[in-house]
Amino acid sequence: MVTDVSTVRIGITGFWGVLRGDLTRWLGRRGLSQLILWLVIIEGFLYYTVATENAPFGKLGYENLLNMLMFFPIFAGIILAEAAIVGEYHSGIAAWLVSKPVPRAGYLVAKLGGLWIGLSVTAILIPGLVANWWLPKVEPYRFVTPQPPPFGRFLAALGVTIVVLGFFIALTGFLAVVIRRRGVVALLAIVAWLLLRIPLPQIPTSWHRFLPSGLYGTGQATGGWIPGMEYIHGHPFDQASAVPMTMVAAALLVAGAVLIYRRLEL
Amino acid sequence: MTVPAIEIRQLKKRYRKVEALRGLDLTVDQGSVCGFLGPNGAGKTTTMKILMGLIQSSSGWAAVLGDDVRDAGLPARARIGYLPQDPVFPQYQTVRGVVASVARLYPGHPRGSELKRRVDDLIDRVGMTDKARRRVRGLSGGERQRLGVAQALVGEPDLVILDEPSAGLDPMGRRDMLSLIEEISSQATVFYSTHILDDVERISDTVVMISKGRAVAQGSLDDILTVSGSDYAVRLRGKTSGIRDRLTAEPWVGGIDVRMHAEIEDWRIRLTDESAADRLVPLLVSDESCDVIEFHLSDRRLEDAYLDLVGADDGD
Amino acid sequence: MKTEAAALERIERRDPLRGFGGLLGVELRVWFPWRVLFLIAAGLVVFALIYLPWRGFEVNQLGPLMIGFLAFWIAILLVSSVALTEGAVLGEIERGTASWLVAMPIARPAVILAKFAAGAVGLAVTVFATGGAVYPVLADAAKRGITEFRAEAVFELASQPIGQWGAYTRLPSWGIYIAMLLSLWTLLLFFAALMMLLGSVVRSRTAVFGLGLVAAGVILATGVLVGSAAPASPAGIARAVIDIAQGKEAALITPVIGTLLATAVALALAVWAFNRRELT
Repeated sequence: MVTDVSTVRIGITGFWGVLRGDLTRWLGRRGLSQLILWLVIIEGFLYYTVATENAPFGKLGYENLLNMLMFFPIFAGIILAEAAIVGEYHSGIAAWLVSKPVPRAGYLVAKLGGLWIGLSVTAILIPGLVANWWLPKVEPYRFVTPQPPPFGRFLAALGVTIVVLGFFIALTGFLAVVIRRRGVVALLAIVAWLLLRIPLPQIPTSWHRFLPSGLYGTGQATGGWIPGMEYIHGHPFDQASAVPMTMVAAALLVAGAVLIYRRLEL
Repeated sequence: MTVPAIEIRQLKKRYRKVEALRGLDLTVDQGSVCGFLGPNGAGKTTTMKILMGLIQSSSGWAAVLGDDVRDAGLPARARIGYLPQDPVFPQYQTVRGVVASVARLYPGHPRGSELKRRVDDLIDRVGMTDKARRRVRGLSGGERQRLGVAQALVGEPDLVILDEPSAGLDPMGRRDMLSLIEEISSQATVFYSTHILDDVERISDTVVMISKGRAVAQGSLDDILTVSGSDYAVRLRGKTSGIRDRLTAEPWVGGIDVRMHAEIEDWRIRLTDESAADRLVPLLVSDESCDVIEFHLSDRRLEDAYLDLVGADDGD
Repeated sequence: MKTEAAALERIERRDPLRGFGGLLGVELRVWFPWRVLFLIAAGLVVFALIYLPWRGFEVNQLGPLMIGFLAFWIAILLVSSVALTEGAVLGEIERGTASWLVAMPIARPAVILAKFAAGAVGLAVTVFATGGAVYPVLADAAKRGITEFRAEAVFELASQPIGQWGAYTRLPSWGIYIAMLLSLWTLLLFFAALMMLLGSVVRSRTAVFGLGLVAAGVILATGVLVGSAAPASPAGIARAVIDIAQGKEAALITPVIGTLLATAVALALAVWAFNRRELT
């Protein structure tokens, strides 16, 4: 049927077929249930922190929103990436799919990419935009600044969160093809998240400009705030260089995972 | 001259201390229905996984549809339909969803109503039309097997590799599966592994027998049935111990199975050398202490050949 | 057939721990030595990462060291106990080994209890080995303090709210320290039981993992970060341990009893659910 079709075209078709399948799930029941889950968790917690008397986090609406987005979706990304790669490896679904005209690299990238896109939209973008719509309407949401942050800056902060999510999905994907043990893979990724969350004093501050920790770590200098919080309040984003560096790190992790996966016996 | 559908030369595969394949040679011609026979652990699934690029051989060479499996990659896989042993599919998908999503992995796949027609047609061919909307998690083992065949065929392959397609099927399911394989064989080469020798006799034109990682016999079904010699059925009356001892001492006698019924004995004599058949009858009638009541060439079945060839290899 | 089934049921009712000893041996091998060594190493690495820069602080007070270590260590222990037990029950069910196990003369409760007991032993060794190894370093750190007058050091201390970050923390005695470790172990026992329960009830490993992490997050948030935990809850243990590290007085007995009760309830529910679970 396809003897005259080039390998590249076959590969792209296979990759797109897997990605399409995953994205279709995110557009269907899975996406809907994830969206409802995240709206309930994020908007619920947020409402609790801004509208409840004596709320423990002190009515920092936007700050709490960005903090939560750097926590919940990323942990979910780690668990789901582990389930996708390690789970499908052990169940035999990975072997079944790559026995079709699907390149192994395409399979891996489609799985991780589909998860990244799906989770970015359902757990970060939509809950973030919904919160941005109702937060200014709730009094007293503003504790630090009297006005809601500029929309562009808020959107950029969400973008940074999506980049961090991508990095941790890539890291989990890499660990998953190397270790291939459920639980252990996610544990290591979560420990990495924890260690980067409070940037270690051994690492010079300037280094954080090139590390994912520069995007979501809480430092002494910022009074325990993540950089995005400062940014939405009009401060410059000192660690902007960490954005491309984190993307490069994520790409390298995926490339490493692909190299190992190509040799893996399924 | 067309290239073989599958060609394997001196293929070896070692899993740490276990040698799964020890220099396997086999050839499957295009257009054939080849049964791949062997006991558990003989290396059938390992061979199929190497052909599909899922695992790599330790040494040797294998080609599918003319392309070396080590670098054949996608173009070859686009021409192969594969049913793994104990197939698993995403639990959340429906039967139709699985077949349609696999169809979309193939280049030049149909779209829209044409895709739907092809998917529905395949689901109908495997007898699952009434279960097309059912999710995979609700399927029985046999239904999952049928779905496995449907998804293997959806890319309209030139070669279909089926790892134990009849496993787990009830008698009717097995019958339908055999009919389906016969039907597929009009469009594609079929290479399938099985333990069920009756199935092979019914639908295969060629057979490869494997034992301990090596092919012990291969060829057309008729070749296989004669390669290990021929059987003769003899009915005797009288004192038979003398003639039995004399026959057993002959180098061209592979063995004698004896069944006793009162004064009559039914023997099944296996000859390792077909040309020695001429000497068998004179030898039998020369013994005056017994009478030969009946003598004819026995119907040799694949099971006999299998037990002889694989059993002999086991005894190494 | 009916009478045989009834007899078997009677045996099971009479001996819900049938097969426990053998299973415990198998499950202990899951934890020992590598899993436990890994957890001990993780704890010690976390301590080293916090201790080494602490040596360079202007004010070598014990408080920041203890709080920093305990908060991180509790977080890693909780996440580890979730990550390493998420597949304990559901993994066996998915692989089919659970049905193979219960097809043998092994009582179903024994399966859950053996897994829990092995986890309890593994976590106990982890907590006490790490905590014991760290104590001499903490004792040494407690001796440092401010030994000479330095204006910047006084200024730094003055800028901290009294009682916050343990500027005046004293080293807990061995007895209190062991009580802290025992309380932490109790908290981990609760998580082991919770994961057994989730594995027996939920059908997806991803969901079990997610729910376990949410529970760990709630305990960390309310117990460690915010300090609004109910005293007689598992989060109360985390709160009390952090309070002691801050030099405050805290009662451990109430949260420990509350957590043990919660653990017993979770374990009983896990056994009950696993008894009714259809295994394929």
